[in-house]
Amino acid sequence: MASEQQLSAIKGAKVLMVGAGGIGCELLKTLALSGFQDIHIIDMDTIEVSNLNRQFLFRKSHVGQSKAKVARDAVLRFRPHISITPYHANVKDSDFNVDFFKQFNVVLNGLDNLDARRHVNRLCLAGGVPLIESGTTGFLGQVTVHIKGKTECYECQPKPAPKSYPVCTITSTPSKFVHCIVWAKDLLFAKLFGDKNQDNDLNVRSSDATSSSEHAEDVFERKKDEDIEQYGRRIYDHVFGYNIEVALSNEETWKNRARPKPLYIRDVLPIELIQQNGNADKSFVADDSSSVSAMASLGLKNPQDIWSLRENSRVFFEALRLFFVKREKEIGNLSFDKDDQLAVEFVTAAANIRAASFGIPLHSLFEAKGIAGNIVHAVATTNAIIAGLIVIEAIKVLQNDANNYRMTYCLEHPSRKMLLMPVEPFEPNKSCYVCSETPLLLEVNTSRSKLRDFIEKIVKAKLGMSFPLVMHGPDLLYEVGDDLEEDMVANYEANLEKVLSELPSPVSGGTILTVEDLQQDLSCNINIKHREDFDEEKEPDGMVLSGWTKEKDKTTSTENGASTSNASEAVSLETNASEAVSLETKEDSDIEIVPTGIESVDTGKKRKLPEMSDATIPDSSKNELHEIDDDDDGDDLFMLDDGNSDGSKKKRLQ
Amino acid sequence: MDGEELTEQETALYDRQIRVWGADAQRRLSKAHILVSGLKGTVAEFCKNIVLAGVGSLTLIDDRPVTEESLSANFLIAPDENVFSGKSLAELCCDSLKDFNPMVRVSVEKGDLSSFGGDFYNKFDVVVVSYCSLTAKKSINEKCRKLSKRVAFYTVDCRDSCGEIFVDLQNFTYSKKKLDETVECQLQYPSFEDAIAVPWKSLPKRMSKLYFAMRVVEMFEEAEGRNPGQTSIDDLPKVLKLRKEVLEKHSLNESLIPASLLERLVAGTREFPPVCAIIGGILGQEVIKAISGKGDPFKNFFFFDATDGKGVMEDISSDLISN
Repeated sequence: MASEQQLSAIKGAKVLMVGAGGIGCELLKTLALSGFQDIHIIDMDTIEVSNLNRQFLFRKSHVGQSKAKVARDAVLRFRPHISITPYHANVKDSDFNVDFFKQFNVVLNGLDNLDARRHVNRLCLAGGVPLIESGTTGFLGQVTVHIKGKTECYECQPKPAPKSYPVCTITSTPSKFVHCIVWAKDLLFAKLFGDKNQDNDLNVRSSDATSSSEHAEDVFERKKDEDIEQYGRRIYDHVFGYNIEVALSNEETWKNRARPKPLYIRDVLPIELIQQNGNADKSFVADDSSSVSAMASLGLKNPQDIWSLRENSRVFFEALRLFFVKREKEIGNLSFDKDDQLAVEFVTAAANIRAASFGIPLHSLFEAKGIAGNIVHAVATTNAIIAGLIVIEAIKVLQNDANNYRMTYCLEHPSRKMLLMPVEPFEPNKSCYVCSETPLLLEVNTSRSKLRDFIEKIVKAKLGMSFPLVMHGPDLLYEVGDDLEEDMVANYEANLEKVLSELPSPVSGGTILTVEDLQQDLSCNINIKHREDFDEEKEPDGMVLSGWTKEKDKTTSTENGASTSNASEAVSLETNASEAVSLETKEDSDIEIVPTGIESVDTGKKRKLPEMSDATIPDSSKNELHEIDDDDDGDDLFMLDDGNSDGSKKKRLQ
Repeated sequence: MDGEELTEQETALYDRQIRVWGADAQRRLSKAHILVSGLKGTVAEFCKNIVLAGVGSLTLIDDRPVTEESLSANFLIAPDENVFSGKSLAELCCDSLKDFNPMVRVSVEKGDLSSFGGDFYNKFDVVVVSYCSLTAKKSINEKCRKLSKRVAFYTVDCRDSCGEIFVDLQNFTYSKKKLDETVECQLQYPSFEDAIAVPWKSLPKRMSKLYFAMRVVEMFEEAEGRNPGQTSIDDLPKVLKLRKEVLEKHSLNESLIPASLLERLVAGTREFPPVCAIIGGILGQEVIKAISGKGDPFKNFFFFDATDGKGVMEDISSDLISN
């Protein structure tokens, strides 16, 4: 139960929740029960069926409606007299600027993607508003507290970049099922149903490049009056047969690899069977495009079954056919969506056929959907636990109880009996470009890379800025905004196409660029270092950003005890899972886990909060803690490392 | 036992969690029958979790009428509903839980928990009791143990910002992933009575203090004939006296159980919603593990205290006596 002091802090608080999903539903409920009276909640998403197993404020009848609004209505039913303000909007909208954030006593994140988390982190830093950040994956979860100047910010620890695969692994030499999924989703699906003008590496590069590209000119275009089955067979034979033959002709590639087997439709599926697909159409009634399904029309019921090569081929033809028959208008504008049943079916079938060709084990639609949609595992219980922990920290933040702030990890295989593990927050990372003023270093070929490359690959992709402005000394090289003069816009457009060394204010080795995002109120300096060559495979951006690093510990930490690896293994495993696929991966659900705590295990860095004034600590709880901790070993924190106690004293898990 | 396949509807609804525990675990969940008694905030949280997870059925027991206090941490009941005239806590919670997942049968059983015989408990796979007297805990646990099938027995209690879970899975076999292999594991659990009979002196030095404090409060309520949770700050002197007696009996120093902790437990009878969410979440996870036979369940106590933020498992069984 809450003390009087806590209750008054709670009652007077105005809090902002970002996210009304898995954690958000639980959090809104727990905040309301705990006595919070003024809650604002932002979520751009609408409700989907796969949310209902854990986002308990939503019902089937709510599918398609705004999460923030439905969540509000549901909570007001058991707490009618509190104020909940919903926003069905993207937290990155310019309405939610620093002034908007400043009105809140604390911001609570229940987000599902890195991009939005970084954005909120910056606004909280800019507005000086405390942030409580959270995440769950399966049975794992974490809650962290971020207070400007006192604890590390969300970006003090570099986050693992989304996994991407070398192009040639995807186009020519897949060795894992995920490679086949990426090929089916980002290349084949995009080529057939997406924007025709986009670059696409679908065709295998042959030793004789000219002939193959010529051949590829219009092979994916359905010819006028071409029969849909005819078209399907042509595509099938081209991508699974001809392209493999072309790749095989490149002997060098297969010296140390198993040779794939070209697949032609005549060998896999008798022509009568393809035509049977069409016959099933008569029994097919639903016309709503979202319910069009190749599985249904082929009588395949269980998404957990692994289909044979023949079944996959039938699904491939049927899905292709249904796209042209039922959803022709969308062709040319489609992008893969894990909630698009037909798209998932097509991608599953195509990935499996390719897997069969390369001797890779086939997978069920259920599994393929998880990989292709980068679906985060999620259960209600972990979200409930994490939401409870968020509220506990929020109450401490409202009381300014800084000595008792904790980051808490919810573990699946705990070491030292600790299922919920509190850890003292770290102090800010001095080299963090977000919350400190440390400059970054960019190695780039200034006479080859264009300003556009710099903006897209570094400023937007790496630094997470949405509305960037780039300055060289007093000279503006680039900016975006609604109120710009036309000639300025034209000027900036022209700059984008120029290489760095030929800009009006030339950029070369030794130049310091200032990059700002006005909405995020973030500015940082980048030292430019000229470098001639870059490794195409390892440094595909053609430039390398550094300077934003983990602080290395002086004592090299090696492998910790068994208990340590248990914890880190669990988390890193999940991290891999949530980063399985290369391109855009926004999942509806709850989180990706970011192993910040675990990383610090490796670096073993000593990060401790600066001493904070005792005066802010409410007396009751202070005494309590003292008494309880007295004959523990006086150390409320703990070390992950049981084994080597002496030199690693500083190696507090976190 | 895993004969039937999940329906299309189940696969769509449970998609995200099947990715966590697998389709076979989901099938086992859908055949499990759960009994809960004592519908305060923590149990309400637990019920929500288990209904969302998709168990076969959930039976609620709590004949008490709704009071302002019972609403404080319970999101299953709308406070301005006039409907609760005449309806019990269990009936009101039932209405709202049914709505959470139409695939789960939620029903109410009336009567006094300790009056039910073995036949009654035989209908369930999991029994969860909350705010239940010491005598009742022991006797229900015994009734479950006497049955020919295994009925998992749990107690759960929250006081102030603290929570305790006890579990008895009897002989429990489960599987877990070790590296890339799935290995079979076995655990033996003591009954509640046997567990709390373990001499305190033989328990590990760093045992959670909450364990001892909860036992003292439990004994106090039993001795005074109180309903569970019916204490106030006025009881503190008597509770402290009991602490002294008990610890002397165990030849232990009084500092083992801080007075401030006992004070919080006897005075803080109103639930703290964040702790209800945490304890109800942990309990939900444990019950899911017990039903699915997947993953390490804890043995056999769990403690959480929001003031230090630690959630700790403790193994209190008679094997400790030999140490």
